[in-house]
Amino acid sequence: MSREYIIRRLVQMVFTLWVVITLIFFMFRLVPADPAAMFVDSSLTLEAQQSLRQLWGLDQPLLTQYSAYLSNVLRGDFGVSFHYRVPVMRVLGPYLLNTMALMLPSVAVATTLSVLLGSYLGWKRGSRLERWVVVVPLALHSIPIYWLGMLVMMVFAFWLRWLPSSGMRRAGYDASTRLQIYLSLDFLRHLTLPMLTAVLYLMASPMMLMRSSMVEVRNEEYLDVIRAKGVPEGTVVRHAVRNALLPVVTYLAVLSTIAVTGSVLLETVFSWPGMGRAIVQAVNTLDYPMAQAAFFMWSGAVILMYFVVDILYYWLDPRIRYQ
Amino acid sequence: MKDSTQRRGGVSAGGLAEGRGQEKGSWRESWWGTQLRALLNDGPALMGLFTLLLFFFLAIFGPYIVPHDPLMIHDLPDGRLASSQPPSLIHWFGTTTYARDVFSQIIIGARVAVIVGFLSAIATVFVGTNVGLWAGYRGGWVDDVLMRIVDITYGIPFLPFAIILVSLLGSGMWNVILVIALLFWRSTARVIRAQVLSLKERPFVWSAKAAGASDFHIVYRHIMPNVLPLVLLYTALGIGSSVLTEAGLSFLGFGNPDQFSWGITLRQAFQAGAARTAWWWIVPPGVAISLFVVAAYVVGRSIETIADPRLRDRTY
Repeated sequence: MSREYIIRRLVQMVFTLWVVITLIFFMFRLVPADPAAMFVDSSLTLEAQQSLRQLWGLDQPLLTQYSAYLSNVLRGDFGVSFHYRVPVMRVLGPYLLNTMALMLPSVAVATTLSVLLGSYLGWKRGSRLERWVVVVPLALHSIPIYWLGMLVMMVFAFWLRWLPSSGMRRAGYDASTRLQIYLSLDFLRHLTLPMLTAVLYLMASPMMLMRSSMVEVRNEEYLDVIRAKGVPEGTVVRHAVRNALLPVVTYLAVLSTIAVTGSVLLETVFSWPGMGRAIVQAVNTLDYPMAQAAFFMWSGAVILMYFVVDILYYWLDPRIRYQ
Repeated sequence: MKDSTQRRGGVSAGGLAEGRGQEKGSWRESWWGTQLRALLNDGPALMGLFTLLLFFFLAIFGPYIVPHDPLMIHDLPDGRLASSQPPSLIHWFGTTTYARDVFSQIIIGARVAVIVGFLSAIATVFVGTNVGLWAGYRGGWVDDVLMRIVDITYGIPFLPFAIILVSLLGSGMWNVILVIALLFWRSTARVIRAQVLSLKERPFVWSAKAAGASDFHIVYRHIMPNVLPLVLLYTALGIGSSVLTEAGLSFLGFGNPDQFSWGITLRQAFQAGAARTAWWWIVPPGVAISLFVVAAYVVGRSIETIADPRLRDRTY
């Protein structure tokens, strides 16, 4: 793998991050109100307000403010949350973990299922079953995720009473470490409904993509060569799937942005204490340091994902490497 | 059909115009006539078109045909509040916990969906198409700069961005449209650019250049008509994603609370705990949103297929 490519891609990633950080800075100063009000809690004492203003350089010209902001962000300091009165990062840390505990398994399951179903649909293109099943991803693509969540909640939590409707664990449930929480049965019961919704929602586009990719690969000549060797049909399919998989790999980056949108809406519906709900709450309670930090972390995750996928693609597809 | 095949074959718009001149007078044989006839032969697309027209109708005439004022608080015959009533002949979709008519709210909500859907899609595609056309056609540093900007917009997670911007600018339909237009042009720009990159190497562009046509003329008269199917497809996709975005923002509480939209109805239903008590309050707004999105998608796919015969044997 060429080192030059990775370095170029890394530089590009850092540049994008910098632009996003700058964008956040100016976005939060877009409103006509006193920008200081955005970072300094007005309910603090005057001296405390003054020292915060100095820390963030809010009494300085815009350019000085910008460099102070940049150096604070680079050190991971997003200030103190207005709402929780502790450094933002200490609040967001657990939220980030909770979101990952919901979204990572969802993305994994959704990708696996969409590859399996999509390649089946592509391979069996034109069969009677396929003609009906092909509508499923289109429908899933068009349904608002939070509405799907409410329906799922209505059926499984309120009518059938199988699973809890919201939250991440039972009130009063005691656990000493985070790992203990994630490994408990109670957590799994709470995870099931939001994860089911997320999987259905995330499956739609990669499934359509895998299907059309499979339709294209299906007629490639190398499959005839493999077939001519007399191998069982299952082996032929496996070869086709591996080649059809490439567009789906690229799509993983886009899927990560879809997952961000999904988690904001889903966590609101299921009262999941994660990053998505945190950013909605932060904006609603005018907790600007919190909103900034959450936004920065979301974009950081997405930008990182694009980087990883590009490298992965480069490594997977020899046609790019030897160009 | 033959008409559109030639179009893809790289015949310049000028050549087409000549061909059309001979068939003058016969609207059925014109390009638009051919498109329309093919659309009418496509079952799902026709259903989608009717759905869109129905929503258009509701958007315009909704306030005049609603059975009830959506804000009116209804009473039962015995004088009690008609809250959380299941569907009946008087209230087709039942009532909310605040004793308001759900059906009327859905009809009134069509207006926001149609306006946001169409205006955002048009704004998005307008920006995206122009960026794509010029980035692809000019190449060089223009392409580099524009595509770096596209890359950066891909690093911005849309919903958090929209929430923050809408809350800073103030909630309301126009700000929602603005926020959508600011970010969604990226995918159109990418796709159009890729298409233009191959189109600009075709003989009809060279001949136009040799004939002394200006860049402006070549881009808008010769290249643009050839990417029109894609433009229409992305408009349709844009309508869908804009409606979903508007509803999502309203659901999160960033819509205009003085205006009924499907997202706001869903928000109120969710906050009132209707998932537990009143399914008729939750199901209709979601169905309306999904129907609108599917309809736009199916029509868009069909228009693209009609304009590009190579896609004809595709199912979805």
